[in-house]
Amino acid sequence: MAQVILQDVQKKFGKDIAVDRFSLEVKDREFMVFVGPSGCGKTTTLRMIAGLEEITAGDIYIGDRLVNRIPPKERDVAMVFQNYALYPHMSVFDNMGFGLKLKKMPKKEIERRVHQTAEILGISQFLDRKPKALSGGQRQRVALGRAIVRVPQVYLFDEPLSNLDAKLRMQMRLELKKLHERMERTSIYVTHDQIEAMTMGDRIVVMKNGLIQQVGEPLELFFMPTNRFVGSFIGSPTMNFIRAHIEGAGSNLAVVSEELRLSVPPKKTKALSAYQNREVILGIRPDDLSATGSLEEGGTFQADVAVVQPVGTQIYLEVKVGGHDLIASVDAQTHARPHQKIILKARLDNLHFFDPASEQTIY
Amino acid sequence: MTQRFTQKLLRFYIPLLLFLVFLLFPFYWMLVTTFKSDVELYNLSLNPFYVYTWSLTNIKHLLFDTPFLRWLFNTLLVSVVSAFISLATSLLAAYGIQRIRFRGSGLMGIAIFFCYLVPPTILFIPLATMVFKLKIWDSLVSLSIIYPTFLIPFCTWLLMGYFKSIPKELEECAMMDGASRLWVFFKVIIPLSLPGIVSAGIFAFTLSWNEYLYALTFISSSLKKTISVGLVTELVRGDVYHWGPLMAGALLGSVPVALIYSFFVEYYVAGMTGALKE
Repeated sequence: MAQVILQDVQKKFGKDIAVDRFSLEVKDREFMVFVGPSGCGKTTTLRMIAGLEEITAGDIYIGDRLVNRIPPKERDVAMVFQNYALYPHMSVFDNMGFGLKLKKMPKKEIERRVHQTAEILGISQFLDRKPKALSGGQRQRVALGRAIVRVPQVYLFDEPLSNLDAKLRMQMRLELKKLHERMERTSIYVTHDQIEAMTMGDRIVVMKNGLIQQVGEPLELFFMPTNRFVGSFIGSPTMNFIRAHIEGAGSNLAVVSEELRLSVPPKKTKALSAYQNREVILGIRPDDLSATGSLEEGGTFQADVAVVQPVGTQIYLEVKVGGHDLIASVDAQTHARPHQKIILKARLDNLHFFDPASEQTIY
Repeated sequence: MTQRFTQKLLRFYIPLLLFLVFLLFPFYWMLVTTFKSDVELYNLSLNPFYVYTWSLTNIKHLLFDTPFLRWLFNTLLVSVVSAFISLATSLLAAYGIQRIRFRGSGLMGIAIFFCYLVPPTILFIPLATMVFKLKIWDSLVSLSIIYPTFLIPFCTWLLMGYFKSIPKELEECAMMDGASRLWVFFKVIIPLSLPGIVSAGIFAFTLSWNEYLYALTFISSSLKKTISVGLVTELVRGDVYHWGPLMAGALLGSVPVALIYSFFVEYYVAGMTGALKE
C-alpha cells in the first residue's frame, strides 16, 4: 500500500507562494497527473513529494509514513527528470544499476534486474554505451529504466516526454501507460500538455498559480470544468468564451449576445434563473458546434467564415458572429470557404456557463 | 575558389600571422640569445636575429655555476604543493557555495572574489608580519601556504562556474537513489568536472610558477629561491646583466609549463568554456 497524501501543503520561496493549500489523496497504484501552465507549482509539488524541496507548511504522507522531515533517499520513491539526468560518464548499465549498487545489492542480482528491465524497455543492446551515444528516445528509456529497476513504492515523472518529438512522444505515452499497468505502482506525472494528461491519467489535478483548480477523471474535467480556467485549459482547440446575458423568465431562459441567441437547456435553468438579466460567460467547445442546413432548428445561428483549417478528420473553422470570434470543429465533409456564411448548430446540453466575476461554473 | 582563398587569406591567415609574430617574437629572442656566445651576442655588427655559431656555454654556466637545478626543484615543489592545497580547498568551497545554499553562501562567494582583487603589493606587508611570527621566514613552507591566498579565490571562482554547468538533477537523482552528498561529490561531481579541475590546477600551477613578489620578499637564501627570483637576483649583478644565462634560465624555466599546457590543452579549453556535453 503506497498512497500519497498531501494535507494543506504550502511552499514559499522567500515571500513568493509557489504552492498553497494543496490537499490531495493519490490512491495506491493510481496514475495521477498534475497539469497546468508553466509556473503553476506542479513541479514544485512533485519535488516536495520527492523530498528535493522542503515544505513550508502542511504534511505529506507516503504510505502511512509522515515524510515531512525524511530525506529523499529514505522515501522509497524514484523520479524521472525532464532532462533525463543520466550520468554522462557512466555506461547505460552503470546508470541503471547505480541505485541498486548503492543499496549494496549483490552483483548477480543487479545484473539480473538491469538486464530484465532493459529487455522490457528494448534497450538491451545499448547497455555498454555511454548516454551521449544514444538518441533522445533511447536516453528517455534509460532514464525510465533507471527508475523502474529499483521498484520503489512511488514513481514521480517530471515532464519526461517534453524533450521528445511529437511522434515519439505519442509512442512513449502508450508505453508508459502499459508499463504502469505492469508495474502496479503509484505514479505521479507532471506535464503541461493537456493531451498527455487526458490520455494517461486515471485522475488529473489541474493547477494554476499554486492552487488546485480541479481534481477529477479526464472526462469529468472535460465535461464538467469547475471554472473558466479548467474549461479553457482542457480540450483542444480551446473552448470559446462569449460574454452574454440571460433573458427570459421561468423555465424559458435564453442566453443572448448580439446576434447570438441560444435557449438554456432545462437542466441549467434552475441555476441560471438567478442570473436573469445579468451577465454570464458562455462557454462552447468547438466540438459542440456543427454545420447544419437550416436556421429552423433549435440552437442554430448564422456565422461568417473567416479561416478554414482542415486537419483531416475535422475542419477547424474560425467564424465571426457579431463581434465574437469563435472556433468550430466541424465535419471534414463540410463545404466552407472564407467570406461565406455558414449556419452552425450548438449542442445546447453541453453549453457551459461561468460567473463573470468569480469565473466559477454556475451550477 | 581563388577569390574565397584571397578573402580567407586577408581576413584570417594574415591577421593570424601578425598575431603570432607579435606573440612569439619574445620567445624567439629568448631562444636565439640562449644559444649565442657572448662574443656574438655583444657584436652589434652581426644580424641579431640569427645564430652564427651555436654555443652551449650559457646553459653550461647556468646549470653548473649557479644553483639553477635547485631553484627548478624549489619552484616545482612550491607550485605542486600550493596548487594541490588550493585545488582541494577550492573544490569544497566552490561546491559548497554553488550547491549547498546555506545562509550567506552568496555573500561568501563575493567575499572570496574580493580577496582576489586585493593586490599582492599591498598584501605582502601584513603577510610578512605573519610569516615572521610563524617563524617560516626564508623557507619554502611560507610560499606554499601564501600562494594559496590568491590561488584559492581564483580556483574557487573558476570551479563555481564549472559546477554551475552540471545539471542539478544529476545530483538530485543520485540522492534519491540513496547516495550521500559526499558520495555524489566524489562519484558524480568530480568525474564530471575533470576538465574544470584540470584547468584550475594548471592555472594554480602556472601562477605559482611565475610568482615573483612574495618569492622575492620571503626568501633570502640563495638555495631556497625559486626560478623567477633566483635568475634575476643572481644573474643581474648591479647593472651587469648576464643576458646569455638569463635567457637560458628563462627558456629552461618555461619548458615545464609549456609541456603541461600542451598535454592538457583539450581539458583546458573545455574547462574554460565550462561545457558539459552529454
